[in-house]
Amino acid sequence: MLFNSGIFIFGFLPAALLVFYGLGLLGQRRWAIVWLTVASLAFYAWWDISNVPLLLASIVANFALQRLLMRRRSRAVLVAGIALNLAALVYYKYAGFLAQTINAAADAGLPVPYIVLPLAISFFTFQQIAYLCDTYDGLVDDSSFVNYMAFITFFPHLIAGPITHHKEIIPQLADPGLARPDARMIAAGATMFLVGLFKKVMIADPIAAYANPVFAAAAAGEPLTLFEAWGGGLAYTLQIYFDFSGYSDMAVGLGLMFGVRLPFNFDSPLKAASIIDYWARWHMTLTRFVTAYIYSPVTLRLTRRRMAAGKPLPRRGRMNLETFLSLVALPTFFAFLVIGIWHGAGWQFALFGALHGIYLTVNHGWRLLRKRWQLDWNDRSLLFVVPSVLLTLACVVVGLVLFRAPDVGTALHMLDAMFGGASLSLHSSQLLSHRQVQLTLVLLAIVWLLPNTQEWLRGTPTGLGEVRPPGWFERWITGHSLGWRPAPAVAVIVGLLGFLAIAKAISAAPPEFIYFNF
Amino acid sequence: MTGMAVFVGLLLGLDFAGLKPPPAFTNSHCIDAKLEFLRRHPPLKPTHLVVGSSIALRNIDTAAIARDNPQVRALNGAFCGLAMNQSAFATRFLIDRLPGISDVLLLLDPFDMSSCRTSKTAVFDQADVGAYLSGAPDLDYYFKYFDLFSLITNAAGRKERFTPYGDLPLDTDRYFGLVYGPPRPSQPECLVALNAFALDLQTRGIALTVITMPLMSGWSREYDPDSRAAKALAAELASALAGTQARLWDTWSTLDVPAADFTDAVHLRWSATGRFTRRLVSATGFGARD
Repeated sequence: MLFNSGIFIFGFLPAALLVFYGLGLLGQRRWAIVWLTVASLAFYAWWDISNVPLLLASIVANFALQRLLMRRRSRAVLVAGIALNLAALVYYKYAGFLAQTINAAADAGLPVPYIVLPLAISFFTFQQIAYLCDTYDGLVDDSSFVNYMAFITFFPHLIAGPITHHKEIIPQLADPGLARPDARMIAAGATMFLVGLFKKVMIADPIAAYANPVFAAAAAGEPLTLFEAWGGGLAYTLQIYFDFSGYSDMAVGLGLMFGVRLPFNFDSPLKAASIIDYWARWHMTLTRFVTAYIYSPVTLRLTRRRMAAGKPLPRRGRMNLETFLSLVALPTFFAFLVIGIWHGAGWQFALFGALHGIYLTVNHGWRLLRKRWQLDWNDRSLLFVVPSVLLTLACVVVGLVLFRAPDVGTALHMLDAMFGGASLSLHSSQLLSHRQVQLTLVLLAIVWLLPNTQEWLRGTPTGLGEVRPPGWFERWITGHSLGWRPAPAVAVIVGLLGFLAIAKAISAAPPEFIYFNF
Repeated sequence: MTGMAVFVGLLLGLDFAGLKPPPAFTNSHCIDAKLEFLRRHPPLKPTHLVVGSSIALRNIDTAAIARDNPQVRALNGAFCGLAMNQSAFATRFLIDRLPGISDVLLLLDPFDMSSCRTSKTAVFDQADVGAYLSGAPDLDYYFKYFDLFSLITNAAGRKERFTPYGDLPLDTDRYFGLVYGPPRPSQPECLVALNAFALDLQTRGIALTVITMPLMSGWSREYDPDSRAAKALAAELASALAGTQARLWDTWSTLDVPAADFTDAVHLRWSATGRFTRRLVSATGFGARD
């Protein structure tokens, strides 16, 4: 079931909360955790019950391997565990794509298997690989199977993240205070859930009505003007931002409602003034995972190899081109290629990752050049920030065209239109209306000016992670008593947001049909 | 509760100001507004029905049919933005509610025949819309089909003004450009839907006349200079209607409509629709038969 469905909001969630806190108040904390796991499995089974055995088998196998690693630090066991997880992921997610690719390249005539992707496999695979790696490195405290199972299956993060780390979740599950209701935490969690729901159903879904026709036209090979293509790409960027960050807010909010703090996953990424900054704010838990378990180990290994070969290493952040290419460009490109492929089986995802790998490499290179040339600009002045944010946004839009397009051909058609291969016509168009332009500008203003959810709830423990210092607009809001706190005025605001979000979530109205003027 | 109270207050305020839009049954304001028109002006036992997408809704002056044939009670039952399968769905819904229909005129252009694959056939919930047209209180539908954005933008936007016959005039002197791009091939799903529709009407004893809409000459020069698309559409429609008693008139190829009559590639300004409708009626005999 979806977080924005009536069955979840009015059925599953209240029932799960009531039983969880009921058991907690009766002093049955352990049974409350078991209940959380049972409820989470029911939540997962609601999508497709046939996937439950795979999830359970994965959890049992990884827990058993972890026990082995706890007893004996065996590299063979670690490698076997990682291989097992990756093999399952590759089989379910990439087997069809790989067969198609081999057939196309070598005319091998391999049968192309049709395998239904088990929900959330990308997420629980990564989490469990991290668990095994950290156990091997001696970073894992002993935990019970019940807590481990609850950590992996906890329904707020199970389907689409945040990608949680055992070190931040299992200790919370082991806390004796768990399942004791905390009114402030529940209120903050409900607020985050409703704000996330609002972002998803009131902003992301409506803006999709502007993005979808442009990508459909591109997929059909229809000519696009430059403004239509950029309008469609920007609409999709806003759609996926509000959709995914809204989902993450809902996940963090739901976690809080059960007394578990999940890590923040978004931090106003479209305010980023560079691509490096963007990836520190967008799908932060994925960036964190890839940095810790792919980028850093690869960089470390390359550094050791260079040291052993007597090759030069970076000194005080300075390095020659060859060192830069082997210690920065190569691991960055590789890590982002993995990020791209992790998102989906298709060349467009690989290109998406490769493009961002190039962006990051250029960004790192530019930083080094600035340092070498001693270009000490004021990074906080508007003269620097505005063009930087706009350039970063443009790069992100281009990348997301690859991400959204159903195939590489469609993406290239869109990109051709975006980069001058198309008419500059501003003539009336079914694919770009005045209303879309107005809505886009309003949403960009929201994105750039308003505090994000965790900033609005500053002062109340919500998710895990840093909350940036307030900007001028947030200070203005707080100064006018509009910051979040348990007070009647805020309750009215949240109540209104909640009504709008829930009414829209359960509405039978189809997405608005944008029919121009006819 | 606060939110519900504010929303009900908003609806009452819009109603008081005469700005309340219809419930978002389809969330296409043009279609929802037509449903509201049918609720407010229940048709009086019409015998002849004009159906199709916006070209039928905008380009036909239904009064002209009635004027030339006093025995006919005509109604424009078209809705804008519909693909062929959706037009068939909406027409069946109307015919079920209007048992006196004896003749149906379906106006088509190539764009109506090229998007059935991605257009959900049931464009609205028949039970809800049926109850709404029968005069059921509408408050529940504003909750069930809740969409604040479309409610506000439709309240603030242009009001659709239908003629007493259900036409929706494009009463303007402006020309908006071609707007419509190159023709797309007809989808088999659309042709199957047309065939099933024709057979269904035949079973019900209703005469069906299918007409292709002439497109603006500027569009033809740009996208169909050798009339290949026009000929292909006529052939495909003829093939889909073969074996049925429906009559097909390829007026796209045979009727010349002045470029100045168009507001874009396919829609006519209201001042030209009376003349166009009389020429159609004269060519096809629609409404002249009992």
